[in-house]
Amino acid sequence: MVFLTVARWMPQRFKTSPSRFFKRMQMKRNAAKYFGRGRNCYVIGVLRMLRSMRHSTEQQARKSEMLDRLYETRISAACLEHGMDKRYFLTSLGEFDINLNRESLSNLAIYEPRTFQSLTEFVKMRS
Amino acid sequence: MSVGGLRSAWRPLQNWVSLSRRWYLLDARWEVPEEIGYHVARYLRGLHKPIYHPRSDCGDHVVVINTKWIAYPEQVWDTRTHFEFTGFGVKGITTPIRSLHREDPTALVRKAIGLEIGPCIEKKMLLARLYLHPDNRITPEVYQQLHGVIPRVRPLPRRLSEVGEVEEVRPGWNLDGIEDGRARPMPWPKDVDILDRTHADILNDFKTIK
Repeated sequence: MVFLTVARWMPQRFKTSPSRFFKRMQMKRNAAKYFGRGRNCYVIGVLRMLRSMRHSTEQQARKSEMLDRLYETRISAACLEHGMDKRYFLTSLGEFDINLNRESLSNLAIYEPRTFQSLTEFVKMRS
Repeated sequence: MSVGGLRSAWRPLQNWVSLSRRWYLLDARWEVPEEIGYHVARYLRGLHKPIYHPRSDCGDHVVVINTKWIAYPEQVWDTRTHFEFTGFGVKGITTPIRSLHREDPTALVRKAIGLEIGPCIEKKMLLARLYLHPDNRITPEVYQQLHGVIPRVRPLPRRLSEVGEVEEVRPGWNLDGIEDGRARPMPWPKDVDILDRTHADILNDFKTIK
């Protein structure tokens, strides 16, 4: 069954053209911090909002690469604490079939330092 | 520290000391500024820590001593120039590095470290955390804060007197007046003192960072 009582209390502009109101509300919510008329006027702001959405979808493919680079800097810092080269460490782990990805290795380096130290010592022993 | 394995990665860090900002000492005697600039910039930025993130302020303070004694090839001192805008028009002043170093013995190291840091918003903040001293005198407040020593890039050359007893000594060589002949670090100038201690004593005090 359809509840009509709440709809009766809504302002008229919601009922005559609800899509118009809600489209403009969405644009203002997304473009709240933009400069100039792109913040307030729908026709101008919607183009900017769509461009920002396009940029974010295009960067989704690069997000994993950027995070991997951050993890690699963290792993290189942790490896240098134990006197080891990052590239040598990662290739040796692959050789010995220790398939830990960079995210888990950096988490180990931060929260489980002795585990990470044991990994470096394993590589030193086996090499 | 924790036994839960990877699941414990979601618990907060229990070692708060690893999140603190530390003070490091670096001896720039007979070092090339560009070579130490790479390492000092890493420490200022926080790239030596596994908790690094570019937006998190995880860098450390660095105190560089003996910047008066930095090393360049001989031609560089006279040929390489330092350019400065005068404020009038497009022309500027070019001075050789030798005269700049004579006026301000810390300028060259600061320039090299600033170049290694690169253009970023935090550059002023990072350079404010850099303390340069032309000789090995530092204030007592800084000395109390020091946590560790950044290892040197170029090892200090050892003197003959430092090597210990030698079988054949060429006549005329000066053994620095050391009587008992045992190996010692290079003697530092006698007219400087840091709370009645020499720089070698300070370096011996600090353990390596783990």
